[in-house]
Parts: sequence; structure tokens; C-alpha cells
Amino acid sequence: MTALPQYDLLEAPGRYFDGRSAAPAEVIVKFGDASLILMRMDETPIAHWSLSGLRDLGGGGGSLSLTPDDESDERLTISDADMVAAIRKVCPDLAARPRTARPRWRRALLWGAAALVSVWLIVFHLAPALADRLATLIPPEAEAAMGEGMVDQFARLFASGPPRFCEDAAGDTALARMTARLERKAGAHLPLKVRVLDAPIVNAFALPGGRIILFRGLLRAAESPEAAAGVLAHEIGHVVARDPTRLALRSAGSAGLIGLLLGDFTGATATVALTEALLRSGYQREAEAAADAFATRLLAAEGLPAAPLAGFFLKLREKAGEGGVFNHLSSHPDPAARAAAVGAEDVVGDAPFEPILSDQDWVALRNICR
Amino acid sequence: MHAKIESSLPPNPWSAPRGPADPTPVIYDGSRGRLFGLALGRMALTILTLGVGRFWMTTRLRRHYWASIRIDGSPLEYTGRAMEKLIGFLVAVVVLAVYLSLANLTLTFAGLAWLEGNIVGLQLPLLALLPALFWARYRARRYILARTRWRGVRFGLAPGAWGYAWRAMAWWGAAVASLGLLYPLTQHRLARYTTARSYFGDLRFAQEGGAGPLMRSWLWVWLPAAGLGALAAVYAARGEEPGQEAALAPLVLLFIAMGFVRHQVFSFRHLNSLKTLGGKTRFSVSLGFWRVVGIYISGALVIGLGVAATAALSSLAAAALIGDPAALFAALSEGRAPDLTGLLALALLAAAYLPAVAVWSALGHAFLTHPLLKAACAGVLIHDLDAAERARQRAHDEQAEAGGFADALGADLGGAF
Repeated sequence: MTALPQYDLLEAPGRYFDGRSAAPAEVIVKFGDASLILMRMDETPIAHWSLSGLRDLGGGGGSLSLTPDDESDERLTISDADMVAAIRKVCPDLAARPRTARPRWRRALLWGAAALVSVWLIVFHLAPALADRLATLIPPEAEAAMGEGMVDQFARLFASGPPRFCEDAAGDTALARMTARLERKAGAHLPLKVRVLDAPIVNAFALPGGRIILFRGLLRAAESPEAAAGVLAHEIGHVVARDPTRLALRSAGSAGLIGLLLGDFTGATATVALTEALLRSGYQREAEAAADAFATRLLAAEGLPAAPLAGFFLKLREKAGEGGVFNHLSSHPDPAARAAAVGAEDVVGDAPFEPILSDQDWVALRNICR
Repeated sequence: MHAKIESSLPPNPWSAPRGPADPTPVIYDGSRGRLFGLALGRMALTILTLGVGRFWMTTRLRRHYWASIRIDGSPLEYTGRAMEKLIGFLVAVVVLAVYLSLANLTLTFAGLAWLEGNIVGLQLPLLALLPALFWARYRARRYILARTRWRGVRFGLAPGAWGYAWRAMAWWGAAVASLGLLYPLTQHRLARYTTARSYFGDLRFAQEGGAGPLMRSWLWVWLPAAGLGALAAVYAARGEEPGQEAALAPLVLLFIAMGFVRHQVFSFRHLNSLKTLGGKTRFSVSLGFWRVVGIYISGALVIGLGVAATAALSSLAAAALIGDPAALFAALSEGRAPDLTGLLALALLAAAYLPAVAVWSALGHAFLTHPLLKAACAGVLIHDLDAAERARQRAHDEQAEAGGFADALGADLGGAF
């Protein structure tokens, strides 16, 4: 890159900053062979700047602010229109992007891998393991108090009016009998407190503190006391595994980490919400499968059949229809798969067994909300 | 010889001596059109690269904004690099993943075990985030100042992120505990802490003045808000429904909102007018409240219209590509999984909002940040700039994480900066 002959005689004033202080020095600027020459007013040269290294700092207003190269602290500002035009013509690289001495893609890739691995390790291994451990350290009294505070809040979610827990002398006795028989071999860390909520939904929940809530709709939908007992055994499984507190801890341990990875760019929010929902339902499905397995073991230990529970799952499936892709988002596994898994563990079959409730008790329990 | 050169040269544009009485204006002459194009292109790249491009976007936009600001003929320069931001972000992810996970787990455990899982207890994990946020904001500011130059001389912020984090926790705690009354004190003390650690070269900035004027301005917001809150509490305690006077509540709320904007503009003016550099250079800032309100209203209109138009166009385009949506909706309403074309159509519909996001971001730069920056710069005068020319260069501040923590936590200093 050389200066054009037509600019040989061109001289213009400039303001030079030496990079050591912000004080300006008035200079004269002219072209050398392949350089820009900066001279003091008495024509002693201060600097020769290579034309190929010159970079425009981008200031507007008709003047040109230059640096001799990307690393330098020195600056020069020229506002003489002819000189500005000449420099722009002679140096086409003026607006080239600043370059780092060495590109650091390798470091970026290394740290990128480290970031992915650490988030993966924490979300799938460290946080779940730690959460499971911490859940066993929560004092039973604290868990009981927590459950006590949550029952009413929870019930309100499912009732249109003020929530009502069903009470009826005969029904309560029947429920206590069913609970007592299952609780014997369950090995729960605190006493169970089972109640029936007056709501038409076919569902049941386990809250902290050994609290289990059966819905009226579930008791109506169950075709035999053993089916209801199977659902209760499943919920007892959640209590024994401390799922209510364990899953809260697991979610807390991985909360925000996916958002961290995607950063704060618009449009990522939906992706973050979706992945976290997938993650939570992943934890939940794992816990549901474990509770199903627990329920079949408990039923077998009491000499009760698991087939009624399997039948109950199939009935649920008819009501809900097939899940398809949305299954992955739902917290419970596919009912057909659950029914098959539970039914396969049935140890009673067609053999006679001691029913969990007498017909009279079963009728009383189903009508507990009357 | 000397005389000959002088005569052959055009008149020196800087030759007019500047007395201490003549303040120096701050010129902002960035082009709105170029900014819009730049922001739109970079945002599109950011979306296409699933967010990785944002480091290049921020860097390029900062270079544009910085270079558009000139003081006494010299532009500001932004020398930050996109790659250092990317690496800094990845480093931050590794560190924060461990910190957030452990802190969230321990605090949630504490909330469950000792606070019996009540609502306050479950908010504890937020507390783990707060100091990290304040720390990250200070570090991000330090990175930006360390990458800003004027006349080749670097700005800088001295280390002090931990000091800032605990002070911010304490002062914000005081503001919350006093139901917002002490907010101006929080503002003032944190501004003073940061300003006292800011440098241009070896010259130090300082924040003068007290929080008194801020407090007086804040009372215009706080008193009506407190009155409204107290009234609502009284009605709630008596179990009564407010009567006709409830119709006035929206007016009071509007007054409070306007008062809040007015207070923010006032604090910007007040705090910056009382900053000094090297004990001599001073600033006077005159940004008008109605000017800011006007910019926000017109900006919101332009952005709203632009985004709506883009969204309408891109959904039309997506709809044209999909064809008949009836089968798709039928499948969805039955809870069935749509077939492959249905899934493609869904993805297309979801992607249709992306152009609107890019236009939103670009219009935000062109019709909010740009006019606000222009108005703010137009109102600034620098007194005794000559004193600032004594500033001597300061050493390069590596700042290896380059604002990555603030970026990962979503606590970066506003969209553009």
C-alpha cells in the first residue's frame, strides 16, 4: 500500500494523542512512502504510521479518528476534508474489524464443553442425589407441620367453594381399617393421615407429613375395595419415598440452570419453561413408577391382588384417551404401561384372598361424602 | 519555514482557545437508519445461532453507540471483543451452575426443615441469587468501563464487587424494610460507592451532594403511594368495599407512575450533575421530564405498530404455507399427536414470531435507546475539560469473565449496554 503521487504535497493539521495522557498535541500530517508521517509544528517527525495498519475509530462529524494499529494506545484526529478523503482513498482497510492477536475458538469450545458437562452433571446426577439425601434429613415434626399447613391450600385448588373433607362414622371406620392393614408393612417414617376430599375428580395425592388425600370421585370410580387399596398403596409409596419434599428439593437443585445455559435472549423463555417442565415431569415419572412398584409389593405382602389396580388404570385410560407425544409432558406414565407392569406382579391371581374391606365397609367408604 | 506552513494550512479547527467559562458539549450524531439495520441484522443472527450471536451483537452495537458520542472532537471508543464475552459467559455458567444448585438446595432444605415450607421459606433461594446479581452487575460495569477509551486513554472501575454486593443487599434491605421510603438513600449510596471507584486514566470520579433533593423528589411518588396503600388497608380491615371514591384510584396510580418516571429523570440529572472528575472537571445535565415521556410514548407507538405489522405478515406467510389448519386443530383438541405435516406446521407457527422479536429489538434501539441517548447527550455540558486532559493512561484491566456473570444471570445493564 503506497500513497498516491497526487497526495505528495498534501499536508494537514491534526491532533495527536500519545496514549500516555489525554492531552492533545497539534501536529502536521502528510504522506510518506507507505506511511502517514506525523510531525511537530517545527517539522520534527513524531511518528511514521504504516498505511496498512491504520484503523478508523468511527467517530463521525466529518473528521477522522485513527489508531496506527489495533493494539496501540496512540490516536490521531484529522478534520481537514482533503486529507480525510485522501486517507480514505489510500487505505481501504480503514474500517476493518479489530482483530485479536490469536483467535480463541479452541478456548471457547473447551469452556463450552465444560459448561454443558457441568450443567448435565448437576441436573441429572448431583442435584438429584443430594436432594434424595437431604430429604431424609428433614425432621418428621417439621414435615408434619408443613403438611398440616398445606392441606387446606391444596384442597382449595380442587373445590369450587370452600373445600370439604368428608366425615361419616361408618365411612371413617372403613377408611381406618383399610389404612391400618396397608400401614402395617409399609414402614413409613411417620404415621399416615388419610382423608377424603369432597370433589368429583378421579385422583389421589400424597402431601408432606404422611398426609394422603383421596378424592370422592376416585372412590366412586373404583370397582372394588382392592382397586382403592391399590391406589392408597401407591400414595403410601410416595410417603415412604418422601416424594413431596424430595421432588421439591430436586426441582430447586436444578432450577434456573437451563435458563443459565440459554442466557437472556428473547425467545429463550419459552424454551426454558418447556425444558424445565420436561425435567420436572421426568423426576415425577420416575417417582410414579417407583410408587407403582411399591404398591404391588405392599399388596403382595398383604396377600392382596394387584389385578384390580391394573383394571383401574385401564379404566382411567379409556377416560383420558391416548396421550401420544403429550405423554412426555404429563407427570404420570402411560396408564396402559402402568396396568401391564402392575398386573404382571399380581401374586394372587384367581386364588381366594382375604378382602381388604367387608362389603358393608366398602359401601360405607364409597358413601363417606353423603 | 514555520510561517510558511502555517499560511499554507487551512485554519486550525481547534485553535480557538477554550476558557474555563466555556463548557464543552457532548455530541451524539449516530445515524438511526444505520443503527436499525445493524440491530436488525445482528438480532436475526442471534436468533439463528440460538443466542450465541448475542455476544457479537452487543459488541457491535456498543462500538456503534460509543463511536457516535464525541467530546471535543474525539469519539468514545469501545474496545471489548465478542470472543472474550463468549468465553466469560461460559466460565460464568460453570461457576454459577455449581453455586446456584448448591445454594438453592441448601436454602430450600432450610426452608423445608425449619420454616415448615411456608411461603416466606420457599422464597429463600431468591436470596442466594441477589448477592450474585449485585456482584455481577458491578463486574459488568467494570468490564464496560475497562473497555471504554477517550483519546486512547482508558476508563476504569477499581475492584470492589463484593463490597458493592453487601452494601447493595443492606441498602435494598433498608429500602424494602421502610416500605420504599428509603429508596433514594439506596440510590445515592450505591451511586456514590460506584462513582468513587470510577476513573478516567488516573483521574478519579467523585459523587458530591447528599440524598436530600432525591428524597424530596421521591416523596411525590411515595406519599401518594403510601396514602393509597393505607386507604386500601383500612378498607380491608373494616371489610368494606370502597365506594365511589375508588374511581379516583386510576388517576392516583397514573400520578404515581408519572412521578416515578419524573423521579428517575431527576435522579439521573441530579446525580450526574454532582459528579466531578479529578476534583476539577464538572458536568451539568439538563434532561427534561416531558422530553423523556414523549420519547417513551412515541417509541412505544412505533415499536407496537412495527411489531404488530411484522407479526401479522409472518403469521400470514406461515398460514399460507400450512394450508388448512382444521385437521391440525382437531388433532390437538383431541389430545392426539399431530402427524408429521401437522408438527411441521406447528413449528412454522412458532417460528413466525421470531421476525417480530428481531424487529422489536431493532426498533427498540432505533426508537428508544437512540433518541434517549441523543436527548441525554444534548443536555450534557462539561466544565473545565482541560483539567481532564491531565489524565494519564491506566493499565489494561483483563477482566477475564468479561461481564459473563451478568449476562448469564440476565442482569446485564439494559438491552444495549
